[in-house]
Amino acid sequence: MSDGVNCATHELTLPEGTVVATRCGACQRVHVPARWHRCLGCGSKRLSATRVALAGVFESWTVLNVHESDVGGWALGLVRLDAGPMLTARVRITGVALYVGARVVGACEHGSGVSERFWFEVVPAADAEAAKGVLREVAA
Amino acid sequence: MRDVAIIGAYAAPVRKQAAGIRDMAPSRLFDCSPICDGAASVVLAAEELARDYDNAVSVRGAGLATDTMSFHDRSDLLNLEGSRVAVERALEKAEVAIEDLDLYEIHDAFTVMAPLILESFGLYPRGEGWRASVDGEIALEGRVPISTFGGLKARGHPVGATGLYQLVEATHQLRGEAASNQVPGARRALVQNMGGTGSLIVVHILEAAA
Repeated sequence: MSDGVNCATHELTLPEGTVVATRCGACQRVHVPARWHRCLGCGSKRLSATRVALAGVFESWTVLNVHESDVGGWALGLVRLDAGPMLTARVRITGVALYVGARVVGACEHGSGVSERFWFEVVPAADAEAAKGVLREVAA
Repeated sequence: MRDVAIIGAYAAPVRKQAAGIRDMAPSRLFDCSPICDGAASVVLAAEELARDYDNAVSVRGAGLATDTMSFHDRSDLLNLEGSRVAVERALEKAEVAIEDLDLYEIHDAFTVMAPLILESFGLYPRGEGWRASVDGEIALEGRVPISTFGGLKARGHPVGATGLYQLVEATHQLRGEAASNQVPGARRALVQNMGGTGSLIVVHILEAAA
């Protein structure tokens, strides 16, 4: 994530299960990653910082397999956050089926005081309601 | 826009390379165009000069449009809005309707792109573009012949040269030089090229010499 928000900023917010975003004062559109110059929806410059939870649903995803590689398939997903914006992110394949509309939450690998890796995971249907806005932290 | 013509069109054979990415579910290996080497060129001339050539092809219209680079910034993942706008602009300049064209060279880098592109042209309703293939309408003698030399998936995708390959192939069609790939009676062709999965789209409308 970039565009005006550096890694240090995310270090502060990721453990809380949120990322820094910007909200347009004119049309209320939320931008993740944060945009500071102009609103993507209406062009307004009235943008202010906010935080949004890393939880949402799958709009789509793909599993990439690399030619002649030992690396197993890895997935990229388009996640519609509960706050409104959509973002592209890694998806961890955990054995829970991926499907459009699946509830997902952010997870990060935390080691040496640094959030080293970040991804989304599908929440089993039974836990979906309880998982809103919860970020799972994993030891590196 | 009727002051530019193609008087020469050349393409070297493509040389296919092993793809870095094997597949991306639900797209499988043969749904993905192979990235390859290749070279193509066209010779452009002002229309008054092109009159000296009996097989010149007129560039009747061109349209360009952009969209957001990232899918996650698009309001509708299944609508190639940039393609729709670029086609509209090209057709307006060429003063023809989409149904008046005899063939469509499209940027079908992945199987899913062809139906989405045909829908963006207005040739099929939303969600119905796949019928073009099932009903045989994209064949050489069908209603909407596309990618008449195999397109990006079968001919190969030399990326930077792909757009010119498409123009060369359309020129061959309009000159009646496409041999077994010839669309019978082809007079007008649409050539669509895109970059960044629809973030930049260029459309040209070509017409055979009178």
